[in-house]
Amino acid sequence: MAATTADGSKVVGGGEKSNVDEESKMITLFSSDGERFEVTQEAAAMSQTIHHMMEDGCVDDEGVHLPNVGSSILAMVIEYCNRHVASPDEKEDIRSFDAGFVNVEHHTLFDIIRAANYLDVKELMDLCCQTVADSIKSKSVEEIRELFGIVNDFTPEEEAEIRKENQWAFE
Amino acid sequence: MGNILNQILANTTRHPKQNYQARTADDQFRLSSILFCRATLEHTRCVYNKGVSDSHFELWSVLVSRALSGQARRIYKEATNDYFRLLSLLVCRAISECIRRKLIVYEKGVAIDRFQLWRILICRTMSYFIRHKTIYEKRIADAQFQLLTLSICKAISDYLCCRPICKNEISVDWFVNLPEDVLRTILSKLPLDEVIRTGVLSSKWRCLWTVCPKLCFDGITMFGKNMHNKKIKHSTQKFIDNVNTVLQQCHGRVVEELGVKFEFDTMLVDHLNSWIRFAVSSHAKFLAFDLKPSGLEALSCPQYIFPFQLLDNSSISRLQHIQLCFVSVKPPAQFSGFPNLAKLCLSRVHVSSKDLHHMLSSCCNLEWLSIGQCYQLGGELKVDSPLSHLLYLNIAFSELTRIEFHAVELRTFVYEGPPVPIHLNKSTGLENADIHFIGVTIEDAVSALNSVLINVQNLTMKVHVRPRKLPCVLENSHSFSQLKNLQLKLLFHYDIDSLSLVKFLGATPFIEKLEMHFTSLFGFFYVERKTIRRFEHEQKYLKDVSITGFKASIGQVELLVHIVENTPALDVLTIDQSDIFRKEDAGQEEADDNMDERYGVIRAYIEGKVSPECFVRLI
Repeated sequence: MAATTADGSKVVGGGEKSNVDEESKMITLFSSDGERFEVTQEAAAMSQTIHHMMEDGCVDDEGVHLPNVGSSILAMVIEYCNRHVASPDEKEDIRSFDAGFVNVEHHTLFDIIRAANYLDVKELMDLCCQTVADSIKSKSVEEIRELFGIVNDFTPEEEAEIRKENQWAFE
Repeated sequence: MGNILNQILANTTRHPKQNYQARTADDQFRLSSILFCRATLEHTRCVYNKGVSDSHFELWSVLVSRALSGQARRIYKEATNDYFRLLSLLVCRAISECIRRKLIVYEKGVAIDRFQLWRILICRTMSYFIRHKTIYEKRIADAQFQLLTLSICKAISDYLCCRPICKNEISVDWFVNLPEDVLRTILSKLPLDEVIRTGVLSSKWRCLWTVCPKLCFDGITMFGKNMHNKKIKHSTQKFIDNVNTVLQQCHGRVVEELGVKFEFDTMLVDHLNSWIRFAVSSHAKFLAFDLKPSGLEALSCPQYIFPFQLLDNSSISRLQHIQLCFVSVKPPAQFSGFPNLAKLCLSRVHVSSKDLHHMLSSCCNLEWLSIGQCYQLGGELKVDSPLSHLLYLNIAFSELTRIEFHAVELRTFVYEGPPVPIHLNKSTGLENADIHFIGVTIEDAVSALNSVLINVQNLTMKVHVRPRKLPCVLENSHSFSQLKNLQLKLLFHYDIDSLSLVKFLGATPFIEKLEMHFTSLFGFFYVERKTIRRFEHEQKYLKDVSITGFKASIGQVELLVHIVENTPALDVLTIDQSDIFRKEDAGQEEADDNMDERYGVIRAYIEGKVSPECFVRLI
């Protein structure tokens, strides 16, 4: 859920903003294009990068700038973190959430992977890498080419040579 | 671009029908295609929405209709007709979809479904025009139209391929440009043959796969597709060659896991050693060698001796996970263990108990230990030094007389074999135990586990019960106060020993869930009996009871009555007459004629003793 506050910043995530108690202490994140996101510290701590910054005291009142992550992708990562800290025990629900979460186009998935790698969110990385691996698994070479838009720039002789090198893998 | 189109069009003129030739030379047609491509490029993703009203497309549709109207003169006037709008719309749709999905249609595009559909749509609409009737079916078979649309598709996709679609477009090489550690994670989730296959995708991918951190070579998957029987010994040389080729290609890379699974053959020895050298030089953390032969040879003494001499100090401290099957382990005298070893699995490993003690004592970071079928181990397995990180311990069939570990964090203990004294006194956090005893009475089983089960919450016990010689004493000297979930799989010779079971239940006052699976070697027999023994011991918390293999024998009835009479909190009671052991072995149980009779017996005994809230299920 995202709501736009008076100053135009987006508030994404659970917890009420009005009462600042220990549990729902908020932290501000800035995406590469300057958009503001408010998240609970708990959700932000899912990112080891931010977690270490918080521990080392590098996070001031202004918030954390993330020059490598665009706003749309950051919103998605925050959505993931919020969902996973909210109810980590409901395995079935989380599984179906994850399945829906990764049901995006490939270039979006790769952006998420890059963001998760930069932010060091291990579970998200694992989930996305597994999704990519699953999309490759059991596909023929042609199908993989079509999937990722890869142009075959081998001559037939070169291709035959590669196939022969590790013939057992191509059988 | 024009040249390409000309070439393609020129090719199509080889077609016998002459009419087409006239059109292909038509400048207007060429012009229209050029304009169309241009327009498409400029509008890329917005093509669909805007295309219809866009002036470029209108112009295109006009020109196309002009070109086509060579034959049917009337058509040009109808250029503003709805049909042409529809045509442009459909074509724009198809093209923008392709662009959005970044399909490289050059080679394959003309054959794939979407373009077929597009061709059909073009033909349809065109034929509507030219003859004003639905000759769609006929037209589709017409080579001219097929060729026409084919060349349009080819020309456009050609153009699209040769120029970057859009400045902001992500290069299709994003996969290749991923950070290496991400790539390694993805590749490690794929089987090795699929990883290697990615080498043929394109020149950029050729060597990409060699960063794969997991190199696991399995003889069966390598040759399994060609083999009908399991005898793959004569392909040992082939296996060796294949592994060596791959390792050569991965030379210099950092590998995390090296695994080899192949039935042992003396030919392998030197190569196994060279593979271990590779693992050392590529900083592997996980080593798995499974050399188990099939058949009776698996019982012989392993001939491959693990080459400790090839491990240098850095690799010894690097190894975190070792799995060995059918290997002989004889560490050198000064060997001081693997300091960072977290997981150790030894199966059919030839090692002396002294060496094993010594090794285990010095692996202080061990979290997971599994020892199975190490037949000549013998004697005690007493590891005095604290294994303060050990969480999982699994021991099976290793001819031990006593097991003792000092593992304060142990959570799960699994054992299979003859009942021996097991001392895990320091493991106060032991929650889960899975024990399989063979040839013991239930009392002796429980005694052997006395110290183990003190704090266990979940216990699975499978026992091949030996008939009791002495009568059982009902008083309990044990109390398993933490036990909440109990699963018993009991194989009796004759009838069940209800007294022992009742006594055992007496020792578990806080039990909540009880699952019992019975089977008997000589069969359970139902005998009608008016009076049965009764015992009294309340199970206050027992909520869920399920029994399988219930054949209403005397012992079983006694047990059932004891349960229903002493469980005030019982919520669910499930009684299944089928024997799951027989089902596992034979797949199907023999037909049973007395089922209904038994249901009657069960109901008779349960009636009135079970509270109305309790859900009773008879299967």
